[in-house]
Amino acid sequence: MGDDAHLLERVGTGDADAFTRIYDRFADRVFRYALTLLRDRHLAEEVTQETMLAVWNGATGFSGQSRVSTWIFGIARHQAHRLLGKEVRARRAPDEPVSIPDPAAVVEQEQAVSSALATLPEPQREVVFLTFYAGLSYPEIAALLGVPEGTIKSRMFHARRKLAEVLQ
Amino acid sequence: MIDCERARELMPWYVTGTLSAAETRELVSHLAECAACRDELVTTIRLGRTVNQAIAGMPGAPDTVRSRVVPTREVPVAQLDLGSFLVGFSLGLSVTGRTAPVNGDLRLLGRRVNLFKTRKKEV
Repeated sequence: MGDDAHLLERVGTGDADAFTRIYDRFADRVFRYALTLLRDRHLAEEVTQETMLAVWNGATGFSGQSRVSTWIFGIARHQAHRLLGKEVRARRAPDEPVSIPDPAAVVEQEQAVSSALATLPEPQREVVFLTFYAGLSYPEIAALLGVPEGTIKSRMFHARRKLAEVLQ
Repeated sequence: MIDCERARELMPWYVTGTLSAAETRELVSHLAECAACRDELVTTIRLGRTVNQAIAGMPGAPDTVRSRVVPTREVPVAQLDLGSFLVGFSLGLSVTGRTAPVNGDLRLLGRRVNLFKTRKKEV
């Protein structure tokens, strides 16, 4: 059993210290995932909060069939889509550009890629995030998104072509 | 052997080390024979690294989320001891900020064994 799975097992018994460690390992990644999907800081904050609470309250529901990271990203994705549905019903269009930190602190190329990433359609942006940042395999991403593996490869193909132009 | 299209399809996950062993072997065999795909691999490595760094540079979860979600440590507020130091029973009440777990411990020859602990999550 991996470290994360062991920690999650302890969270299931009400171990607050184990939950703190899980929070420290995943909260930033969940927030950035939500920001990538929703492009709205307030919604991303809410997704992160609801996701981590769901982990605390539902750790015993982790079956061990996937990696802990995949399980947590799955919860975050569900929360993001739930909130997005509420936002759409409330007729508020969350379409701010993805925030990047102080431009002086990042290299020019990263800024260019960040900007290019923000222009990708959400399904492509999500695959890029889950591949290059979250480190998920394409079968894991396909399972998480509930789409065929070929769809993941196709989304990556189109995303790469656009992002590679920025790097030229 | 796989063709260039299949090789390029697999490259992003080769870069992140998440391909299966069989797919990795297929891709490496192709790369050994194809200079164009080796160039493409270099581009994909650069892209993967830059994307990773760009996303890692995005803001992390605000502290306000942490303060709302992470439980605070248990602070004992009351304890009832029955029996002696060697043999007895303790009932303790603690608070964590959002919960108030109750512990029941059996004391036997100076050792303490937890019998039960209520766990009520109120977050």
